[in-house]
Amino acid sequence: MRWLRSEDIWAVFTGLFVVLLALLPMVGVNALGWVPKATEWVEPLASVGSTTKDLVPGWLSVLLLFAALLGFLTCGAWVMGHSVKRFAIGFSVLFAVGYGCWVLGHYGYLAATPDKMAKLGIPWGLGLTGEAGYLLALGAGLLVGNLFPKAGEWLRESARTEWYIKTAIVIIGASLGLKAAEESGRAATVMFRGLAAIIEAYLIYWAVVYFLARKVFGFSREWAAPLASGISICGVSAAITTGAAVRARPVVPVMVSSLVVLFSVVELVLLPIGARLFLKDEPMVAAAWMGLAVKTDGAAISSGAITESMIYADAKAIDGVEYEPGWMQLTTTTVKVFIDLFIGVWAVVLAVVWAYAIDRKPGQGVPFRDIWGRFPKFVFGYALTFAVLLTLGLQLYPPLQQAKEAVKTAKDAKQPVTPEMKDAVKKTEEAVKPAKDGMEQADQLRRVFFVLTFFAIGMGANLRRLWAEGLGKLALVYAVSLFGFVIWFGLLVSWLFFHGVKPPEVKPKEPTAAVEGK
Amino acid sequence: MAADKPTDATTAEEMAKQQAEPLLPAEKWLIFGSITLGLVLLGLLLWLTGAV
Repeated sequence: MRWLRSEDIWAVFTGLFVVLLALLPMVGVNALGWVPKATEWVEPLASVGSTTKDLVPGWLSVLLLFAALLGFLTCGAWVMGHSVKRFAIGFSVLFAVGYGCWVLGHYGYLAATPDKMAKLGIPWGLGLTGEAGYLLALGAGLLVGNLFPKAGEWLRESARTEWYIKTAIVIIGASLGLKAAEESGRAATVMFRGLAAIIEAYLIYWAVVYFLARKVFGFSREWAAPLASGISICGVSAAITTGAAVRARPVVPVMVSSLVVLFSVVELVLLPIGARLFLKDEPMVAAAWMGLAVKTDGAAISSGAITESMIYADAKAIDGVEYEPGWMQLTTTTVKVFIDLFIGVWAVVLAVVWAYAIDRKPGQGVPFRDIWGRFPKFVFGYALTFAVLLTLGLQLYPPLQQAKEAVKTAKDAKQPVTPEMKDAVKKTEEAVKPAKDGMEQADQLRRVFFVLTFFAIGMGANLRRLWAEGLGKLALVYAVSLFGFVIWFGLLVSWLFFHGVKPPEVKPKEPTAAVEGK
Repeated sequence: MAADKPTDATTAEEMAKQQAEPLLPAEKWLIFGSITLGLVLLGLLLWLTGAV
């Protein structure tokens, strides 16, 4: 049962379990209604409530969440062979600080957008939205990891960045699947244009970075291949899978990975700010850019979330435009997961080139088993939850859209809206509601995994290592490739493929209003 | 991870051990073939999406 000892597999288990519970409202069981939901606050007691309004007090919902996560994740840590005691204690600290940051990030003066200030009774707010909690968690992690390295080292047992973010991605798959069903045309557009990311990452980024590493910086093939994958594809998983493909010593991709994590934190801080400043009118370009330029799944998806919160808040405050939540995240995640999906294919291509043309050794073929072993399997979890909810959504949404369309047509033709029409809208809305409620609950849990990821990413980033002797040359090639080429070419391609594509705006509840008005 | 996290000293040592390896014809093919194919496919995709 060695396969059970992988964080990748446990991320799939954890994510699927959450999605399964989130689907239960469809059979009348509100299994996740107790999950806490933070809202903008001025009075601390009003900061957290349960997802199903007033089901349990806020403090109890947080306590229940802590107990549930501690129990489930500690079981996973035990199966994976981690120290149970250390994981449990570390996770308790991680959760307390992480969730504390999340709630603090919802403090009115930090989070409130102009439309919410009056409700909170405050004269001003930075308008960062509740996602400010992610930045606070990242900052807290950086402080702990860099100023208190011993504490950071001790907490590292529980700071499982890959586990937390991959779980979040599996959960995202479900909510995006439902979203895609609601706006299938727009989702198809995002996905088709997302194919550009695969071409760009594998055929252009990789080749340019490999050439730079080999020709300009004089790296050997064993180093250059994992380095090129780390910089151009998706960080850690790609470096490790490529390492297997070209039969590099295990130490090589591990060293490259440590660098990828450091740079991803720098990108995570800088790129969303750049996107907010220069791409506020092109949200989907910004979203695709995060997926293409920010390395590691955690940092990329997190950047997408932060960028969405900032650009959406600005659009609402400055232009009065309210976009449907989640569409920028759909784009960033699609781009990132598309890239991830092809790691295995690219590894096989490299393995064939290395085995038959570069490093030919008698009796040595393509190491399929190694490549498969190191392939990030959580992408299947994402694909599964996305497909299930898309299929479900495609059963639920068309009747609702048809019913609303019938009301609209009648209104346009100045004909009466019949009771049957009203009834059809009501019934189809009721059919969709449990699925939407369930996904909202799962999304709250996804945010918790995000905040844990941010804290863990910060804690794992010992920035002093950038100046360490051994990493100097590696860091230089990384910096030159990333800031000199990858980021800008990524921006160009994102612009070419996504400019003019906008997230849907929050629709006025016209048909319902029509029904109510009659 | 397949190996323990290396120290900075190990990294420095490993980096120093690298020997100069000239680019082989297969590597050149891989690099320039990839870039050419990538640009062609991007152009094709751009045309298909009607974004140009």
